Amino acid sequence: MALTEPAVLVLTALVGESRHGYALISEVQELSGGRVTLSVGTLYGLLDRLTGEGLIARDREEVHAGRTRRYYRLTDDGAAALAAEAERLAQLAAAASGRLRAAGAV
Amino acid sequence: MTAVSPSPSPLPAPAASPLERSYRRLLRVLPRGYRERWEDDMVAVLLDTEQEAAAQAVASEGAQRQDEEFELALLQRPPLREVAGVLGLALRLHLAAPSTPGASARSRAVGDAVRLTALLGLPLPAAYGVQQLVLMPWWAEQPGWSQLTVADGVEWVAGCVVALLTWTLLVAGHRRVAAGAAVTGLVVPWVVAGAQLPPPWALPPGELVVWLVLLLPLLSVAAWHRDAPAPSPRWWWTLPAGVALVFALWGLEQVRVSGASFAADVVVAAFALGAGWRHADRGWLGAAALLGMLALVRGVVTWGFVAAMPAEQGVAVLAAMAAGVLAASGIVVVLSWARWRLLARLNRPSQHAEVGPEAS
Repeated sequence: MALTEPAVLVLTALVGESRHGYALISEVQELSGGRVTLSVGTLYGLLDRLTGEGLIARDREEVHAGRTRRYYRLTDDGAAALAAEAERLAQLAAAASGRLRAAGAV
Repeated sequence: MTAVSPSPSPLPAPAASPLERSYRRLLRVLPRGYRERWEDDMVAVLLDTEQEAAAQAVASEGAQRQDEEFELALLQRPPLREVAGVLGLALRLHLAAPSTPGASARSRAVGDAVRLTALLGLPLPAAYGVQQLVLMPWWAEQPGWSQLTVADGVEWVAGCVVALLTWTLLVAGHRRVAAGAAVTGLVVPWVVAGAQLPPPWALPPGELVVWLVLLLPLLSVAAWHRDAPAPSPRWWWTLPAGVALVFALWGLEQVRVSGASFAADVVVAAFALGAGWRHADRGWLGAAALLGMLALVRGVVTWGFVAAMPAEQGVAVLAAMAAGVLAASGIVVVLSWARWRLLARLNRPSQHAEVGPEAS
């Protein structure tokens, strides 16, 4: 099943680095150029789903300014799902660009 | 990947800020089990997000100003976007779909029941709309027709059209547009009636309950969120079946059975009860209970109307029919509820077959 855009953004934000909830919201905002701002409810619905599907997993916990921050990391299955989605999007983008060039539209 | 480290020993909890208290109150709309897993995380992230956003908004005004805004953010209420995010999550968890992660078996069965209520409950008002159009010339010649106001007609036709549109969009798979159509249907009575109809919050509790129950099929569209499976194409048959039912009951009225049309809602509820009973499916049984309640409430309203009629020839038959529909509706509700409880005790989940592409 194709991943939704917020799911792709969250998985991308976790590549190579585990992050906590607030860092994920900030990173998703940055990755999307400010276009996608996840609410906390939406983020946790997404984290619950991705955890349930085994694409991400809970990592360590840290206490910051008196609050516990729980970190999440990308699993191997998550990396594979993201790679497949990236490939699909790249093929789609290449097809669209190719046709636009052929038609002289760009 | 980072190794999992043991949790540090807990620090004494600081006093909760107004923002935290308000957000925790809001989180009570989430199911208890979910809250136990995620509440503290969600609160921490919300506080971080709001404080950082407030500080960044005044980044050009110096560190002291940022510190002030950082603290002032804790005195605010959760922004509307966050409230909507939590309410959306609560809706998906309470009216869960088979694929909703973290949802209980009960909330999945409730979700199935509510989704079926929309699919089964909307074709009837839609069918009345079709009947209205077909029989308009005949009805226009009947006594009493001239007493109807234009507003009555507009409200009735608009309600039927909204039901037809919402149901069609739902079965066609356009659930977001269907939700928009349902919201339109919810506000149509107020738009048409203008100042004559008080807003919902000003209604007496009894009338509010009646209003909510009568709007159940439209409200049930909320359970068709993005987790829900697409309705089976076989649901397209429901509309012609609804039209056939409405015309059959109207035909019976014309021949000999006065008040036969009163039975339309309870027939649909009884159909759901039959399906739920045969397949031991809590989704269908829940829909039968909800549709039975709808039939019961409409039956009470009809009974009140008939009871207020002058005692002329034929009114006794109407009263008997209204009483029969009331009794039948009550039986459907009780049987559906009892069977639901029994299956819940046996831990029998909803089979989801009714909405998926494999529906039989």
